[in-house]
Amino acid sequence: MKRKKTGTCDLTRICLVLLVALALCLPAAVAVRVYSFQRTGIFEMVEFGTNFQNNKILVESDITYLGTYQNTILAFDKSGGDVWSYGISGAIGAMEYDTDRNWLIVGSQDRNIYIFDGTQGELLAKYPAQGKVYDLDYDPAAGQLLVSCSMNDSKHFLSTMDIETGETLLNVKIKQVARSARFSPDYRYFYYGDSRGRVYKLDRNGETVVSGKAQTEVRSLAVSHPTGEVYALDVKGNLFKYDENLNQIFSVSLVGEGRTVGVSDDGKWVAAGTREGDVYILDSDGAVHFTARQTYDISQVYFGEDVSYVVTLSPELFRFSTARLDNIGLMTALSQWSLLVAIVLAILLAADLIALFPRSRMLAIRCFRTFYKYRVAYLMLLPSIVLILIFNYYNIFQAFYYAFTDWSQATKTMREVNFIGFDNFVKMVTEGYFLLGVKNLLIMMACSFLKLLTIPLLLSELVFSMRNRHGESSRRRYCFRLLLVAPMVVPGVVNTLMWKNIYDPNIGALNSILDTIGLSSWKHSWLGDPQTALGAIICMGFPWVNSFAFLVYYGGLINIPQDLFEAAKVDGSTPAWNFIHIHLPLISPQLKMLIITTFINSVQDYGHVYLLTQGGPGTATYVPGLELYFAATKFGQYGYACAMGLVMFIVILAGSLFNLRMKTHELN
Amino acid sequence: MKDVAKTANNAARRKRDARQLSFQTAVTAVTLIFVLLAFIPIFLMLFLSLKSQAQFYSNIWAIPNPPQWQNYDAAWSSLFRNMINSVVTVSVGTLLIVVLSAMSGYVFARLEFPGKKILFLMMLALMMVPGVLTLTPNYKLIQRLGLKNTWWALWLPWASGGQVMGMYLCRTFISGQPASLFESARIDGATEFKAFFYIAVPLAKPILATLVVMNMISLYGHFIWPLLVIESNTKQVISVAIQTYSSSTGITDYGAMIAGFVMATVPLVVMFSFSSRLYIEGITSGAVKA
Repeated sequence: MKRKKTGTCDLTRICLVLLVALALCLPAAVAVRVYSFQRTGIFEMVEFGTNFQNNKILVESDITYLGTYQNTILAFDKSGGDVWSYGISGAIGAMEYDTDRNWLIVGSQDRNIYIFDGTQGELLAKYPAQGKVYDLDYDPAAGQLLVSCSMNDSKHFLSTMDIETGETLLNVKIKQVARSARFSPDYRYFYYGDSRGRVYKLDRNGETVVSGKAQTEVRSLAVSHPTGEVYALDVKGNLFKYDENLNQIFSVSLVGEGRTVGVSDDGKWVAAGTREGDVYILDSDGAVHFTARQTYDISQVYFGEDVSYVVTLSPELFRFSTARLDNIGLMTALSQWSLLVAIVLAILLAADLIALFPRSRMLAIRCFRTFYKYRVAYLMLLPSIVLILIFNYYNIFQAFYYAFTDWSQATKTMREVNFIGFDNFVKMVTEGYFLLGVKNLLIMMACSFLKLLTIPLLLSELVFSMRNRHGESSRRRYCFRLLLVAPMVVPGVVNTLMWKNIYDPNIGALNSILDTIGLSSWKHSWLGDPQTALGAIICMGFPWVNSFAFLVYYGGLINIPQDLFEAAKVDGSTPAWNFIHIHLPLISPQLKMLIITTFINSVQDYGHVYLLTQGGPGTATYVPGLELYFAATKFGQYGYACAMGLVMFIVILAGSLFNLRMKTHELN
Repeated sequence: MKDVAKTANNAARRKRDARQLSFQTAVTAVTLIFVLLAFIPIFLMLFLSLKSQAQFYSNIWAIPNPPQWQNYDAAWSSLFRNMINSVVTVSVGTLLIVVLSAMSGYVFARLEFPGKKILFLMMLALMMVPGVLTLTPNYKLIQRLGLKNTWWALWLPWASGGQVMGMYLCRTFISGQPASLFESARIDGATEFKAFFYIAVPLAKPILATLVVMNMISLYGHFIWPLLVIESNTKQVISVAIQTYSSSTGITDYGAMIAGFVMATVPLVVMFSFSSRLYIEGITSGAVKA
């Protein structure tokens, strides 16, 4: 008794010591976290800029130039005061600067190239380009400008232009749009990336020297001046690095639709921006050191010597110190690890507190013992539960939430999703497609029930009644059972496509049969005529030998105890009486199961309609599931799709609950 | 006296036998008609797959002469890769489903533990959740997890969704196994896991085979989900590939298109010929009911 007491005292003392230690460590970890986290938040909002959409930035000595999507060029001094501004007639595509002459060169989507006096804002020259200017690069030694522009969807040009005279020195016509073009560091070559996912290296005579491959449309190129290496970002967010001869060095796939890539002057840092508003900063080996999420499209990441800028297609313009990048990796790691340590410490602290007080300690021990005692059960369930939580419950709650929002293709980031109440549900009623589908669905569902309750049941009764001379189950039974199940080996898609072929107006078997038996006048484009399309879909699979339902019915029948039939026989029963009073009640559990699965399937299944008619012709075979599928894919109305899913879920839930209330005969 | 009774009895039996015979003949004939009708699309598929384009247009019922075996060459070269993809993805998916179903089914049928009821209801409730509800968020989740265009995008949601029905069937089946077996095993010192592996699983073979066949057929036919999450043709499963293939050959080469249908069916035929017996036993054993 006494010993036990000393033991408890020891434990309490240990707990107290631990408590003090933890109480000291935890704030330290939190402090490290706060410090490093602040250091990772390197972006700060810049106060100047337009109230609309910025597109490009350029910083030269004391002046910062901003090119906007609203056709203006703005110049600011260091303190953010306006120096000059100039309005032109198209969005600014690219800007370059000639330091000797202090010329600002602007390429615009209004198909012109403008030369401004950088300090005064005076328009010096205006040269026509061959189309919308997508990108510019400048060779200061020769005074030549590389221009990438498009006249229309099929005519795209790369040209070099003398900056003094505006004379085109070289003109290369290319087949695909080049969103980006860059000189090599020695200005002897230039690179461009096209919408087919290729990057080309051309010499100054316009001859292709070599080409490299990206995955999809190249949105942006950057050339590292110290090393001559080339970076390309494609629309799928893949960032490629090539050496100067376009041999791929590595590729990194980033999340989001790629917009722009930039490389710092010393070649140490690469930044990529996406349409979703993410900025990734990578080192030259492709390791991501830093990511930050903004709200809007990133249109440019500009590396300056001291200060760098992130331009978004919005009034929001960000600035960060280029030097800060050097320890950003360390700070990010520190921030993550200190958070982890703080969490672990907090858990330990909580555990320590529980252990400190006898009552809570007993409770904890009891909980732990229960868990330990039943560990096998919990461990065996763990994988199932984890999967269900992630892939079912999480998604269900997401669907419930997004059903009330305007989430769609147009929303770039989740922050832009708005809560819109019941608008999606109202839309279902007012827009009409959903309701049109409901009518077709009801017809199809009624027919599915009919098909389920007749043919398979009849067949199972037929096979069940097969007996040999001694009244025992016969070999025939076994064979027919197998034969009736065998057609299920044809995959659903193949079966549907085969029926599509049977219904084909030109070479389909159905029309050929009608020809052969002399009913040519009945020939029809079965799936192409709004009058017959729905009927054709329903008739698909004739004679509707549903193998699964047949087997389930049959299983119910053979499991009926033999003595019931014998007892009935003594009473002089007829087969019809047997069917109604013995068969039906005793296979009612099977019936119930088949009815509910058929109900659930017909509400949500649209695969066969998708394959056969895509809901057409017109809306003759439209079903709600198809509308949901199109909303979620083709039209990109995700919130609306979730709302439709929610309605179907409620319908199915109601049906299932009703089905559960139905009484069945349970055999014991 | 005795003789008379015997003859009367014999006559009655003969009459009954005759009636029974005609009844059995009728039953067989009707069933046979249904079987033949059900097989028509399959016969038609085999028959049409050997025709050339010209033979399609001249007379569709004429015997293909000469049989166009090259249709199968064309189908093989464009669909072989997808066939292998389907076999691999469906096998792994089915394996995951069956393993998870057996484990959770056993736990819910045989073990008692706190929270059992809640966990069971949590899984069972999912049976009422239609796939269309979670289609959109699930797609976005796969995208966010970076699993798009990988086979994990098929396996994980398949395993998660397929195990619910499987768990329910296994639970029903395993509860029907005699409890005394497990008790004696426990007395002999078998661990819970051993009892599961050496007693429950072998006894549950019919229902597990049923699950294998059911899931294989259903996963093999999955169409919408792979269409959404798998982009590259080299990773695509056959049910999607066959649709693309049929729309690309649909007007120019009917024979090759239908040869492709036949090829897409072959893996299931092979699988079914090995497991049909266990499958039929499993479904007819009475475990499949509400």
